[in-house]
Amino acid sequence: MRIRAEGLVKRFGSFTAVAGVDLTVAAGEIHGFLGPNGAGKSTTVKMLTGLLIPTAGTVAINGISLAEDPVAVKRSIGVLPEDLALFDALTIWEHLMLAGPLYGLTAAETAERAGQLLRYLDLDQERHTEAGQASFGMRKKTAFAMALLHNPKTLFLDEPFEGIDPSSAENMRELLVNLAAKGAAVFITSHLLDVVEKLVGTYSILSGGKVVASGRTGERPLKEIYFAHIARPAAEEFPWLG
Amino acid sequence: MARLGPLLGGLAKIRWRTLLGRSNAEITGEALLLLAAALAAERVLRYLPQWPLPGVVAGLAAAWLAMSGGPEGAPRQFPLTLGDRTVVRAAEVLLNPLSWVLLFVSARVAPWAPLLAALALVEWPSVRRGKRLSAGPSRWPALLRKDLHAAARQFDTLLSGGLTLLFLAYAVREPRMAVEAAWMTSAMVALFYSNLALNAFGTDQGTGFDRYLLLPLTGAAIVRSKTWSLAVLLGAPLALICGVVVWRLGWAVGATVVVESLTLLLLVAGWGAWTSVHTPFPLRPYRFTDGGSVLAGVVLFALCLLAGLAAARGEWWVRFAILGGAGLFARQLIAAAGRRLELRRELIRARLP
Repeated sequence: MRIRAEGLVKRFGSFTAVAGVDLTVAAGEIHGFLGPNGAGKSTTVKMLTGLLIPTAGTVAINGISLAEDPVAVKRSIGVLPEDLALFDALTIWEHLMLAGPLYGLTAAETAERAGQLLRYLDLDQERHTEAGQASFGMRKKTAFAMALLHNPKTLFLDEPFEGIDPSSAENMRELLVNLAAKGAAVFITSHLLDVVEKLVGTYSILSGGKVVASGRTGERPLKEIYFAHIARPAAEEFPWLG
Repeated sequence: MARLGPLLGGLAKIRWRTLLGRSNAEITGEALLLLAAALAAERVLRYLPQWPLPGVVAGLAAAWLAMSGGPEGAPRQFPLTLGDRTVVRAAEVLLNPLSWVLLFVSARVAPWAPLLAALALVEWPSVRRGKRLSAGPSRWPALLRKDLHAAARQFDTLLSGGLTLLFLAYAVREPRMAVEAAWMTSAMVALFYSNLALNAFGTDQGTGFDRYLLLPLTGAAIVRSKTWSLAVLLGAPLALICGVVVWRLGWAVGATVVVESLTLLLLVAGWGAWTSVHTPFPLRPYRFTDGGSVLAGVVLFALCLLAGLAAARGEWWVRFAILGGAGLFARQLIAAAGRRLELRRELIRARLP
């Protein structure tokens, strides 16, 4: 298994954000991690990627325990985090050139890969824009490129398509499909059910910090499964609207 | 004169707030403070006698007064920051002779040098096997540029740069340069940089700190990378000052300055690494640096003053012994800070916006 989490719990004081999540994602699998706002998706991703320390439970990524060897785990994964984790004062290009060598790439390899990724993500013209001055979409594509740069075995993407223009989103989708086809595991959180349904092979639905449903896509429409477990607010009339 | 009125009126209408994020009153006030600091430094150089022991006591008291303000744990306004009623406090601090005694005494021992490289060399072999930061140099320019960019937007940095230039002009113009002038300037430069040293992650927003955590780096490697950036930031002005001391006063005085600088730099780097992971707080661009923890500041002053006093009264071997002790102190604290970073990462992240 590329991703194995058992009994993941995260408490912030008396509030329990994640209440015992078990997850397994195999090599070559694209896994959709779904749920309403506040369900605990991003908190789970942060625990899986080492940004947060679990209150309880264990995480193993690519067969390595995150608690025992976090650096080895981080070297083997790519992450697009919720807040993008960029340095405002560095340009898009500098972000990539900073990251590559830390993952063992030479400067020449980094430059070659970074240039190719930026061209594919339609970001090449803005490569010298500082992250602090870049638009949200440009920042997200930068973080996405950083996640892919070192050819990770496992990829964690928190809301990857929100705020991205359609052509870049399509290119990102193609990259992910190709990456999975070559054996990488891709873990995606998203609210865009239609987009996710076309991309993922397996899914988990999180609500109240617990996995309430999981399985393979294709048997039933994902939207139907989702709303079977996640209640929508009751319909209301808005006579004052419009 | 008739033309001056409209010109001044036009200047007053410039939206400086838009340019610097500050009101006209705040900018004017801080410019006046800058001028007052320069003038006060000149007064100190001329008239304050060397009173080491009373200076220690008075200086610590002044430091406490200067850095207090606000509940424990909350970001503090360094008294030189204007806004609300801090103009009065700033004036008090600038004119408070106790503060200047503190500066003077610390000046005796505080001319730092660009020697964090030595610190890094001492620390480097202790990194755990298999988890060390890769040795390739290509990562440093970007990290350094990031920290330089952030530091350049702190008024403390700009102020210390101005003071360094002031000193250089003085040193070139004055044939009988007093070594106290170098100590004074170095102390002030160090003082204004110390808040950056004590709060190394303050220049990164929370998202930047997240990136540090996502990269395959140990806590020790992260702390070291910050220390390198600090070395360059502090080292540039202090190297200029030390260079001028050697040029104008010769190697006999210069060597003393270098050894004392090394000692002080190691102490500050070690203590700064420790406080950076224990009392982080966000730094706001175009402001004087927030004071942070009162205790951290007082301990820093005490460490520097005590080591400096001991070195000033000792023979050469004493100075080297103190230097060795400072190196050991820095090595242990930086390693400990690296380990603590991994345990405290959530707390640090929570305190950075």
